[in-house]
Amino acid sequence: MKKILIIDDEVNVALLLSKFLTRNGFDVQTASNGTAGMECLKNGEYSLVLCDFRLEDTDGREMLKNIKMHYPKTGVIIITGYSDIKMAVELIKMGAYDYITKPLYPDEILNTINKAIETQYALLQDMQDSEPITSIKRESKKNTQNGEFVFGTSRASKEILRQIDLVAPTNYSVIIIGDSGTGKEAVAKSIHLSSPRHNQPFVAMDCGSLTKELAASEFFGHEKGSFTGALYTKIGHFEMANGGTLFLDEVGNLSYDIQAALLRTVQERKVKRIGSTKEIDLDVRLIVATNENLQESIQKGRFREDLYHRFNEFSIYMPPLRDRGNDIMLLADHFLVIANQELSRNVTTFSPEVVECFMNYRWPGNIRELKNIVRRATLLTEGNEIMMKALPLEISNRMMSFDFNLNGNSPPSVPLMETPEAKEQPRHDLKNAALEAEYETILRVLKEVNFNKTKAAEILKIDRKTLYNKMKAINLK
Amino acid sequence: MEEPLKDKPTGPDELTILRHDIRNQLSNIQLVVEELRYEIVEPSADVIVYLDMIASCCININVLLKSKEQ
Repeated sequence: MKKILIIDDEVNVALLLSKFLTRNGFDVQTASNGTAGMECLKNGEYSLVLCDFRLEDTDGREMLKNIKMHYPKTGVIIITGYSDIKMAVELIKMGAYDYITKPLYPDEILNTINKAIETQYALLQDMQDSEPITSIKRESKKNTQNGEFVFGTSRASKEILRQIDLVAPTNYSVIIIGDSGTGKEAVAKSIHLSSPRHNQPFVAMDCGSLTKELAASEFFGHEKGSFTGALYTKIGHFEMANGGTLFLDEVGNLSYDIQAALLRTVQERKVKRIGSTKEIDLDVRLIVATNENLQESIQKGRFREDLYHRFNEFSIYMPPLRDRGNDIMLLADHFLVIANQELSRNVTTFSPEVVECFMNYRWPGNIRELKNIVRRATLLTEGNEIMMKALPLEISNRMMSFDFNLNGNSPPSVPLMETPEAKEQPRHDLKNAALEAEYETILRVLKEVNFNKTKAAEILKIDRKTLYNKMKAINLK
Repeated sequence: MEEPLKDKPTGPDELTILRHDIRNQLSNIQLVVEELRYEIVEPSADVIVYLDMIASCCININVLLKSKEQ
């Protein structure tokens, strides 16, 4: 993934820009002044730096000079609130790729960044032509071990890794099938990084959150003025991913009309922005993910069979976490290291009871749930060992009922959400009763729809965002 | 957070610095509008119109700032 460093002392601009670019497939870091920016550059290799001209401790001209001297491979775009042609010319002569004046328009900046990275990549290719071809392989290995992706050592994980190695160098479209939270996007990224397209953009798109009206514009883009509200030209995700990989998550949720439009683009490898007559040639590798049985959707007439076969040149099945044996603790250790860094803690281990609990729990939310539980437990742990009391009640209580069932006894009479403290409280607390009922309904519906949140929200008649908030509140996510 | 009316190295006048600071805030608004378009899962037609209005107001403010530069 392309790394971008934003140096801007306007914290809000840096934060919003970082969110926007992360969503568009970049790995973004921010720094609030020149010194912090140079420190970041020292610690990591960046494809591009977006630098504000006016900084607390220096200015864009000095930063550009320093970056070009020490990190010639890194491209620089200067952002400024002053529109001064003389300064722009001077900065470009000094080696800046571009000079953008504020206010920043998201599409405009994305376009400039993509072009800058493309140019920078072409320059790098010239410089690296003499390097051996095995460099791609080396990089892919590095990325599976540098902490971003951890695949585990179970048989299932080894099989996934083998399939990634097999399919990555080809141009095949891939369907990744697996429950929510099993790491489908990580596998998609890994395929991209191990492919010859690794220096090109990886654009991820969540089809579950797309409305019918927005979908066409998001996929194909639109021209300024093509419909009411099209205030400026928008580049679609296909165009954004040109040369690289487009990852479509929850593809089973796409409406039938959009599937037809997609089929045409996938077949012809050409895209036309809404309101434009010009066709743009595409060279995009498609990776799609789904947590539902697309064959069944085809039979029910909800998914186009022709589109399915376009996507299904290769398929990878992601097993649920509970079937991945030793990977559970390997991943838990990995998330513990990250949580320690995030929270500046020094928690080193899990107690034997916690390990047993983790190994026996069903993990309905899979790796995502494990990650959240480890983060939460790290925050709650004072010493250096995570104990049972740091785990959420739904896990420890479920383990209690699991023990009862194993021993042939009936499950405890206390409901799932009830804690020993709660037992002492009056049983007629209406608020708790409502919460319990809500928890059970959400969990039941989620299970019914195989943890497809869009469908669950539809059934529960709430919007997706509310469902996410409720899941977060009851620790389900 | 950036302090308003901070000196720029090349020494522009106060009005130039004020324009710079206003443009910073316009950037914030534009980027927040973009985030809202993403965050609001199923916006009503009215919400879309309001977001478009905010974005076009930012463009208009910038046009006004530019016109006073000449």
